[in-house]
Amino acid sequence: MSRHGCRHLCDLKASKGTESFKIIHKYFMSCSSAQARRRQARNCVCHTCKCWTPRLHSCLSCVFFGCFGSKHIHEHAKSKRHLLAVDLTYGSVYCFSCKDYVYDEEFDDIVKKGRDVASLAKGIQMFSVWEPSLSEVDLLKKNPKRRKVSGNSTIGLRGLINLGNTCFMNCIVQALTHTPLLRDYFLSDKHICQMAKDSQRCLVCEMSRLFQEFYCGIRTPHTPYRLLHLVWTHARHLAGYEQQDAHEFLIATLDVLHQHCKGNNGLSDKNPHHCNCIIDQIFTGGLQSDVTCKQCRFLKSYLDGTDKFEDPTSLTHCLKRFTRPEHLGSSAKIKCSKCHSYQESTKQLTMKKLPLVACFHLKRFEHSTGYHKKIGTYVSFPDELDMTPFMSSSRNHNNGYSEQVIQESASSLSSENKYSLYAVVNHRGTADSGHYTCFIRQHKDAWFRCEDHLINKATIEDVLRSDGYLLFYHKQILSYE
Amino acid sequence: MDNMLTDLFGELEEDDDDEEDNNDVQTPVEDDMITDIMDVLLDEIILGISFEVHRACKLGIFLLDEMDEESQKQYDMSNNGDCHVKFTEIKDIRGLDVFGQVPMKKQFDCVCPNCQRNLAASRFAPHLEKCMGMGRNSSRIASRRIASSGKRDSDNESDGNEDSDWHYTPEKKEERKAILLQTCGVISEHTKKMCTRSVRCPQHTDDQRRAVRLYLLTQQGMVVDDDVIDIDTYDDGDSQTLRDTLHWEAASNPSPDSTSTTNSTSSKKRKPSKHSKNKKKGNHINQSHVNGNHSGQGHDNHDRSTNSANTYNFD
Repeated sequence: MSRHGCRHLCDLKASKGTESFKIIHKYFMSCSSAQARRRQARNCVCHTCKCWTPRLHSCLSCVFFGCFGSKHIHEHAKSKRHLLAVDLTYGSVYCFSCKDYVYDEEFDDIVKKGRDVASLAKGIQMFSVWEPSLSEVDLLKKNPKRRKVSGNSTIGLRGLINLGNTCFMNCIVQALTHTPLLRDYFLSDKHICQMAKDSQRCLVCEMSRLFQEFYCGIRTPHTPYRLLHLVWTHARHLAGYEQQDAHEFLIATLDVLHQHCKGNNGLSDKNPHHCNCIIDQIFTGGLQSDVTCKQCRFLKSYLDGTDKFEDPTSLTHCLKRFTRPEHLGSSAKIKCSKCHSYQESTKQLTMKKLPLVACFHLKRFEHSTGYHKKIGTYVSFPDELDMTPFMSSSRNHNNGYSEQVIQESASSLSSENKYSLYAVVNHRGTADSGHYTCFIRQHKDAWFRCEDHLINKATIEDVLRSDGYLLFYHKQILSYE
Repeated sequence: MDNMLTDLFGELEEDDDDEEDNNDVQTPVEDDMITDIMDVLLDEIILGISFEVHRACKLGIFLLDEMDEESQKQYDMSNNGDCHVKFTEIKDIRGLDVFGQVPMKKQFDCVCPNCQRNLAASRFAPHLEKCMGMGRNSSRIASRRIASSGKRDSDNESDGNEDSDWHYTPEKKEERKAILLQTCGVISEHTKKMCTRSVRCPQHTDDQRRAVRLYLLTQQGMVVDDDVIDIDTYDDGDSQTLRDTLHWEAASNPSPDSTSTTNSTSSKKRKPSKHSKNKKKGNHINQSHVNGNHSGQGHDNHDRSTNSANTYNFD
């Protein structure tokens, strides 16, 4: 079960190294340019029967290609005593002495690197399957107990007792516990408490316990009173038995979680202001603000931008307005560093770095002196969202983000900036009093409506029809850092 | 594997037929070429899968993540019978939740992490607000807590009765009196609980209020259960009204004496030694309050406020 191939392969590596394998892999398995592919096609012929056949193998000791099916490579191996040959399609190494394919760590690495380079050149994202290391295989064998969760299992679903107007908290807890990355983090026991003496006060530890409560399979509702106590203890401005805002609670909770995570991984070297705790990794993105002088280069495109002030009707519309250049007005002239004069300018916000989880907060409550109003406008939001048009990298195209750009990116193959909806928090009632409920996605296409202790099945149509207040989107594709 | 292949090729051939029907332009040669290319591509894919499986077997990771027999048995059992709660399938039945249960109105209890008091989960948030000294009455309660905390830490460490401070058991007549000064107090026939609304509560009449006062303050040994009186939600803003409307014997003429009686009673529970030191002025909390703010015997108003605050016992 060694990862060092067989004895014969080790002998070959010791005498000739891995260079020949590297070259063969580069020219025949991970070629990306059209020219390289042509060369590959021309050369992929059996040296014995002079034609292309499936399962063509190349000798690792000399330049010889032979087909496996007609045993031409076998003949070569026997006559020349060249014991090893590599499959020209997948790069597996065959040992004629062991009469089997053998797998070697070093060769695997070469294959993996070659594939990464090729996929980068082709602009296609390739995903390699996770494989346990030797020690992990050992652990898995020593602990054979597995529990597979079937698609229709209630695992992860649990009601929450209302502690007295705490539906705002229950909704946020439901959304957080169904955030795939947070779930994976906590269920794999990644949190190392930073409050050694006082772990009872650590909110991250409490979250960890909460995940255990949610995914242990118990059907009776959970009472999150310890969570409430901890959040109130650490975010005292929230404490108070009045109806509260779910968004405020979410922000405060994430903030406390972030505080308690600190030191867990330390600050990253690249950016001292950027923490790499799990909360920041998941929820932090970045905005880019560009101020452009109207006079010297932005005049035309600004005028092209639509300047309508209508009610937003969809999330995409809201995002368009958010990332639209904003005229700073004649009273706020800024000295342009290029044309050296005070000019009117425009400011534009775009997404510099997308977070893994994007939470959109639709302004449903308007607070002015003297009145509080709830805004009941229906704002449609998609199941799947592409953020490409709102990225800083798309800024150069134009300023108004015409429909064309959005459609282009939506139809493009790249799903790099695509997001999936996984939780929606709703509010019904007025600005002063009301009730929070939420929809959460347990897994793909399995939606549930949570109202405190009560959980019912829902459909995606129910979700998309609802008046969203907080919308949680999860990035579809996560790349390794 | 053979079966699978023939299935696949069967399907492919059908597909090809379809194309031919639609286009009618393909020559037999082209058709052969298409089939050949398809064959090659398919062979290659199958070869890839074979390599993957072979590799997994050689490295000992093949099917390593599969469910073990024991767990599979448990899973099957839980789906057929009701012996195991760990695996349940999602139910979508009108009137029932996803677990197939009738939505319950069951009471859940929890223990307040702040005061260790046992209370109904549905009342936890309002309780915690008061208990942590926040919300509407926050500043007053918080300052009381700060004033008392120093003393408590220093001399009540070993006091086993510490917790009794937090369990308000108005067994004493004076304490009941104190509660009745602040709240309506009419005992509901239905819930057997005292009404915690203000003394002007519209749900009960003054006659009812008078009756309950007569009952509670004349009958001896009547023990009111701790959980029955909801001191958490009660509001003390109306104590003056009570004095005005009900002409309560003690309240109509609030004197420093009546206040100190109430206070000293509660201090008995706390600590006898303390009590002996502060005979007149009541317990240590009030003492510090009085000394700190007014340096002497309290003003009428002041006494009232400390008195009413005392009924919370959130120090």
